[in-house]
This record gives sequence, C-alpha cells and structure tokens, in this order.
Amino acid sequence: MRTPEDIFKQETEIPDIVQSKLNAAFSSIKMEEAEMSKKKKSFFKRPAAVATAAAVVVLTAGTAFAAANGFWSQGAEDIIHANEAQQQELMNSGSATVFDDSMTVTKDGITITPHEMIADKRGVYLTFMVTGIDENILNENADYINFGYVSCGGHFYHDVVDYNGIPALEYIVTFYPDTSVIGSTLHLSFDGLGMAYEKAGDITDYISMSTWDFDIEVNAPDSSVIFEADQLIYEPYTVTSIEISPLSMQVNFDVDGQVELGDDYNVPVLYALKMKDGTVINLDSKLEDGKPVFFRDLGKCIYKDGLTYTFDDDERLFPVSAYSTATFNTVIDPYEVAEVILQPWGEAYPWRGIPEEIIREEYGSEIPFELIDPDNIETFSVPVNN
Amino acid sequence: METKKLIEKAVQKDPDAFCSLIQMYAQDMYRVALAILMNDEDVADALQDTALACWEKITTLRNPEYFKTWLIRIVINKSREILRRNRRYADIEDVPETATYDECNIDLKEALRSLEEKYRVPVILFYYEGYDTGEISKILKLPDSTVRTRLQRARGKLKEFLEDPKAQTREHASDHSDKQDKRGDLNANTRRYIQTGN
Repeated sequence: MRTPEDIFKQETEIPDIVQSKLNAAFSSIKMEEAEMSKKKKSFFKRPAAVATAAAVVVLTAGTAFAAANGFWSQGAEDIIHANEAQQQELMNSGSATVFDDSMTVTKDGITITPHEMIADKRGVYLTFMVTGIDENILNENADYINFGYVSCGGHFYHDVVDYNGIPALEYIVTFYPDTSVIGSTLHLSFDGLGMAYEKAGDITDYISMSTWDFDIEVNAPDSSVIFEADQLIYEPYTVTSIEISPLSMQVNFDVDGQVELGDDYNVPVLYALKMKDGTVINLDSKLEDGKPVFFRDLGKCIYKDGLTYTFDDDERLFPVSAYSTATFNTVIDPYEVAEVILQPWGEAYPWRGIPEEIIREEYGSEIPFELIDPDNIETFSVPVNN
Repeated sequence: METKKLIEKAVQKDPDAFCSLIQMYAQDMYRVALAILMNDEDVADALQDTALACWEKITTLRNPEYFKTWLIRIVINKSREILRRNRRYADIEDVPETATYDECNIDLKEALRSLEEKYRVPVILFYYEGYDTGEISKILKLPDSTVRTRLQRARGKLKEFLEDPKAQTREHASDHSDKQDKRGDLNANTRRYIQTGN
C-alpha cells in the first residue's frame, strides 16, 4: 500500500499554462529592467540627481505623545489588567506607548489608527481603532466583522468602543516572538474587512477589500530582572536562572541528558507565581463569562541548541538547554515574587482546569485533550532569590 | 551558478539571475499554490503575480538564506488574494469546468483533494518542502501546536484516503456539498449587501 510519503516523493510537473504565465512574467521583468537601465543611465549624468539618489528616507513610527490623560483602551485593558498607576508606570518606563494619530491609514472610508503598544521581549500587544464602518453594519453585524487576513495574530475586542466620540471597533494584535523584537520595526498588514458569518470562517460580505499597512517600531526597554538559580526540577531539567519583567517571565534550564520527544515537549511548564505577600498568580487558563479565554500566551517551552523535531514519534533529541515562558495578564513587581511554581508538561496543557463541556461547546468536538484535575498535578517550587 | 550567488545577483536586480531562481523554485511554488487554489489556471495567475511582486520587492530581502521561505510566503499571500477574489465574485450558479490542463500531477491533486484546505499547505510544506513544524508555524503564522495537530490529522486522512480512495472522495464530496449550500446563503447576503449598500 502506498504511504503519504510515496505520493509526496513524486516529481511534480509544471503544467503548460503555469509555465506560459511564468514566461510572460519573465519577459515583462526583463523588458522593464531594460527600460529602467536606459533611464538610469541618463538620470545619473546629472550631479544633483546622484545626490537625490543617495538620500535615505527614514520612516519613523508615530511618536508617543505625553499621555497625561492617555490611559489605555478597553482592548488593552482586556489584555493586561492594570490599574491607572500601573498603566502610568508602564508608560513612564516606555513599556507602554499611546500613539498619536500620525500613523492613521484610510482606505475606502475605513480608517485604522494604531492606538497603543505594550511590549517587552516576550510579548508585544498592539491595539488599532477601526472607524468609518457603516453604523447599520456596526449595529447589526459587529460580532461578525473581521479582517480577511492580518499578518500577525489578533482579534477584535468583543464590543463596539467609543473612540473620540466615534463608534469604533478595536483590533488587538498579540505577538509572542521566540526571540526579542525590541528595537525592530514590525510590519503589519490588514487585508480586507467584512463579515465572516461562520466561526473562524472566511469573509463572505466585504465592506472593503483594501489593504492597510503599518510599520511600527518596538521601542520598549528590556525590563527583565534576572535571578540566578540552581535547582533540579526532574531529570534532566535544572533551573539555572529566572527572568521576570512586569509583563512576562522566562525560566531557563540546563538539560543534562537525553530527551525523547514524542508529540509533546517535556520541558517543565510555568504554572504559578507565589508573591511575598502570599498571593498566588495562576498562569494557567481561566474562565471569563463561562468561556475559556486564551488571548494571552500560555507559554512556550522551547529547546535550544539542537532541536530536531520531526513528525514521527521516534525522534531522539540531545539538547543542552531549554526555556519556558509565560506572559501575564496583569502587572507584577519582579522583586515581589517569592517562588515560581512549575509543573511537568501534560497532555491537557493548555486546556487544564476547564470543564470539558465548555471546551467542546467553544472549540468543537475535534480538539484532542485529556482532562487532568489541576489539584492532582505535581508541582515544583523554585524560590526566587531576591 | 550556485543558488546563493543567483540570489545575491537577483537582490542586485539582475533580471536573468532572478528569472533563473524563480524557474528553479517553480515546482515548489506550484505545489504550495495548488494546495490553496486547487486548479492550474488560478495557480498560473498566482505564480505570475508572485514572480512580479518578488521582482518588485527583491531588494528588501535582507538575508539570502531565507529567499525560499520569503518566496513561499509571497506565493501563499498571492494565492489567498486570488482565492478571496474568486469568492468575492463567484456566483453560486457557476459550476467550475474541468479544464484539460488540469490533467497533470493527478496523484498529488487527488491526495490534496482528500484534505480540507487548512491541512493542505502544512502537508506540502512538511513533506515536499522539508520545513519543520516550527518553520511552518512561522510561515503560516500559526501556533506550532496547531501545525503539529494539523499534520497529524492530515496524515491520518491521507492514510484513510490511500487505503480507500473512492470512499474518501465520496465523503469529501458530501462535505463540500454541505459547505456549498451554506455558502449559497452567504453569497445571497453578499449580493444583498452589494445591491443595497447595507
């Protein structure tokens, strides 16, 4: 019997119609370049033109305005639960920025304005105000409105919001980079706006088929505080350091030994933070209005130095280090953390602690998971030496 | 000429080097576009659009090592544009004609037809293009776990298809018919919106 591999090893033939359109593109490119080089030759004869060609245009992101009253939008508050003092503190430190409207883009009467950015090295959150949508559509179909394609993960805030007295929808981009993007410019592209009547379905009624492009510099500081550690969690994972910022954290491990990799990673998972005043901040999934909320990153567990994951189950790994990350939906003081609590990677992650019927209702019957009673999962506590 | 040198020349706007590169990767581009569009005529448009867009933007490519990944991303974007355009203007009464130029790569097309759209691109990127799940998750902007789940399910569906191709085709045709019915209603809404403006 043939296997999927047999099918996908076969040579692919380029059909004539495809090759002929490619050839047409090649001809067009070569002709265009021939025309351009004629123009370039005459253009560069003039010294002033050379100077113009050498000039570099630097595009900068919209400047943050001093936000005396510029507290966060509803969407931003939905991502990070912060009181006014915490919001102001993050804005003062540069971790949060409320933009002016200099980056606004309007197409087909629909205006998208970058509103704020909250960022550190493990998470970037951006909110965008979308105005100009017909009020009849907003009133009747706001729940169905979505973009056809967004170059970065995101979702609309669940309700119409007031933006400078105008009804608006607020789009929230959440981005969890594997490596820090601080200092980089993010290019975001929103393509097509309309109604998607089926959950997670395609747009079927377009309001606009335009594309709105933005380049936004992530100019937040790296606000992590690093705490050294040396504690074996379970073989072969030893915690060597813990990085905590007001918005996220990362636990770094030495991996001393062979790791077998099946469908899951086995790196210990961040479960909770115990603060010095005794409060526990759970980093796990939670319920809101009776539904699971997964808009924040539940963490990454990543091997470094030698990850060779393959689709089959029999792959063996010999990594030397790993890390687990989590981003918070609240603001914390790194120096007030007393302990970090870890758990072994489990089948149910990240579905732990949520009743099965709610997951089934929200995500359909195909989600593979195994329910585990969170109270019966072994935990490992690592003291934070601060 | 070795690929790296071709890419370097292409980045410096050498049209011959650029066209040679695109031809070199034409099969890869074809398979990815086919996984999204599922017919050669649209794939041809997608590849033509991709070649022209890449030529326009080639100077922005910072790291030649990522040329293929960059190219694949543009193929995906252009293919999705065509898909959206087709859905935008499709009339529910339109029945796609079987074109004679769809006769090649039959095994590949049948295997892809046994899968839903969301499984097809990860499968092509994994099996044909040799990307790992982490790379696929970056290309498709999906969580790594989602990519792994989709590959797992796709593998299961492909095995079922290879065991009994006819049963799978029947089942998929039935699914497709259900979806078409729903889409018919939605297209009626679309038409209403276009006509009334609200």
